[in-house]
Amino acid sequence: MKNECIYISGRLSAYSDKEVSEEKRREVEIHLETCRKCRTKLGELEKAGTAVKTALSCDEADIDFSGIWEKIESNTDFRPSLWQRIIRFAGKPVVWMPAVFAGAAACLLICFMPNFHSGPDRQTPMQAGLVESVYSSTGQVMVMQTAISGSPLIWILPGADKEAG
Amino acid sequence: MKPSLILAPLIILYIWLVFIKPAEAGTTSILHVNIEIIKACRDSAVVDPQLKGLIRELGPILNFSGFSLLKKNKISLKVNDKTRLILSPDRQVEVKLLELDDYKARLSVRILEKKKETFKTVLLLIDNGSALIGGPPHEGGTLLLRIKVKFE
Repeated sequence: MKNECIYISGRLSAYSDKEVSEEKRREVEIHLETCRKCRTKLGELEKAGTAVKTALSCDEADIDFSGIWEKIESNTDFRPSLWQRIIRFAGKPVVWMPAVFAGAAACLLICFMPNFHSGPDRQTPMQAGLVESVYSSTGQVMVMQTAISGSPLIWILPGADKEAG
Repeated sequence: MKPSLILAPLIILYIWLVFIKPAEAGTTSILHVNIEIIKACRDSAVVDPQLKGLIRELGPILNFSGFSLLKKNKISLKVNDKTRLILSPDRQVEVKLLELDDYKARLSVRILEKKKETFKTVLLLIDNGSALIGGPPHEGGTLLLRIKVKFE
């Protein structure tokens, strides 16, 4: 861009608004006669000026400001997204860590709760078998447990009279 | 997010797991009883191949060296059902199922000699549990009963 163009383009807006002196106006017009670029620029400036003037000529009462605001709100979500909230939450160790410790403690309690796996009756696991009662006419009975399975072993001993005999 | 939002579901889960009963399983109604009548002796070292496990079980307790399986009976019982088996010409054993639930079976075992009760016991057995009763003399050895149960 020529130095003259730079100088004129700085004055085009004022020229378009008729805010320049007669001398300056002549100066700009002489340049415009020979410079196509500056003429184009002036044309654009005039177009923009016309559009602004048209907009400003509207009556204020005709503009629905609340409708415009609703449109803006519907198109813009100012709340943070779920991912942003997760990131923000995870980034707060002071809040996050107690929850982690509490969860771990709850899991440990569940795992080590006595009789947790012992069925609905919450009974202590029974051995392979138990002897509830025993009677022998000899009057001598031994109750033991086998070595491996722990099953009950009832041994009927001979009576005192038989032993003597 | 507050920690209480995480803790609340965890506490609810804990309470549910610990205090609320799971759905009842199908109830057991039949007990399969396997009764082995065994002769144990000290003057023989012959062990019936089916009774090899028994040597390991009884070895540390009783000093028998020979075991022979005289009879093996499989019976199925419902509550209050009873069955009698002949141990020897003048000796019988009677087994009666007194109670049965998903976790235990209560069995009454009686030994009758010449129709007179000489021995009686009540056993509490779990599924696949077993009990041994021994002592009565029998043909130069000692009689041993092994009772195994299985729930259905």
